Amino acid sequence: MTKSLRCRDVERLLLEREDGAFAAGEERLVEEHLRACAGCRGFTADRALIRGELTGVRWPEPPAELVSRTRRMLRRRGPERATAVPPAWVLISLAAVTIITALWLAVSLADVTPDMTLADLPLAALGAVLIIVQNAVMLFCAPVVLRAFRMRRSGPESIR
Amino acid sequence: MRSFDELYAMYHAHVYRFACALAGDARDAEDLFQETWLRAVRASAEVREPEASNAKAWLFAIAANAHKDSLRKKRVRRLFLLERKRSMAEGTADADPGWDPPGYAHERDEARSDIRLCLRRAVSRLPGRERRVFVLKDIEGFKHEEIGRMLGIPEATVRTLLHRAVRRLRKELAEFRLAADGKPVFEEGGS
Repeated sequence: MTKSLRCRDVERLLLEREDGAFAAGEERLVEEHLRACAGCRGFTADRALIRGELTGVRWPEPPAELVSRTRRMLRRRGPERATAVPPAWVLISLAAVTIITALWLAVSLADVTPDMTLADLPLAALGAVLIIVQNAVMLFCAPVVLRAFRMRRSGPESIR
Repeated sequence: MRSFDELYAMYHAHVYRFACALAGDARDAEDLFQETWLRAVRASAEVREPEASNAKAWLFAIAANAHKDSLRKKRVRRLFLLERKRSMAEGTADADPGWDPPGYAHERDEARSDIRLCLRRAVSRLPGRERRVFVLKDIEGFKHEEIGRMLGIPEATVRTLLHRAVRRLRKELAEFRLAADGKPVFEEGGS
């Protein structure tokens, strides 16, 4: 094991010691290493300096205007209801419609070959293509539309 | 709604302090503060009322997630040149998270306030993940295990990120001392 690796390990152990997660054997090894290694002693000293300086920081109080504005906003909104799960019959109906549509698409597009143009397609296949395109466009636009809807609902006093 | 009001009254100052420590400047801290409470009020309908002992950790986890999302949005905006980089380190007029009230530094000896300034700049320059772990550990006093739970990462990752953060801060301190004294103060002991 190289010296640099040992130092890295000792530094990690020193950080773990702050959490109290330190075995007696490790403590002895670390103390021995610290006696011999000026770099790790420097780490300990800097660590103490960093913690000391951060402890001495005087944190600002939140501006009164921000506190009252946020409180007003929270009261107006209230906790939003969790998204209600639709009843079972709705889910079953949706699943049935999905399966029927998928079967219909499969049957309608069964005779379509890659060399066919739109003009060659039978009416049922054209309908299937239309449904696929319409769904693709909807999936592409839905996030944008939903976001715009949410922003309109959240009102002018939302996050700046 | 009364219980959420109480939660707000009890913890708004804690959340603001955390936001100040995480954000690069006062405006970002205010945005993060509001976003955290908005998310909390939304989430409060879906989760059980957080116990008093967990409420702070719950709020800080929300704030940490909001911070992560805000950094991601900023990166995207910068990518598309919609927003210029604005950080405390650049010394812009509004780029002060207010760690100490104006004038406070003059009450202390100059060297001490300089080290504190160097440190807070160094913390604001830490990468997002390291900064969140460092602030939760060194400023908010959570344990590695708690931080892991709050951020949804393994405890070993928390230790690695904290170690990296401390090494970065040491490097900044060393550069600061070198600039101030013209000589290194600590010996580099391995990598």
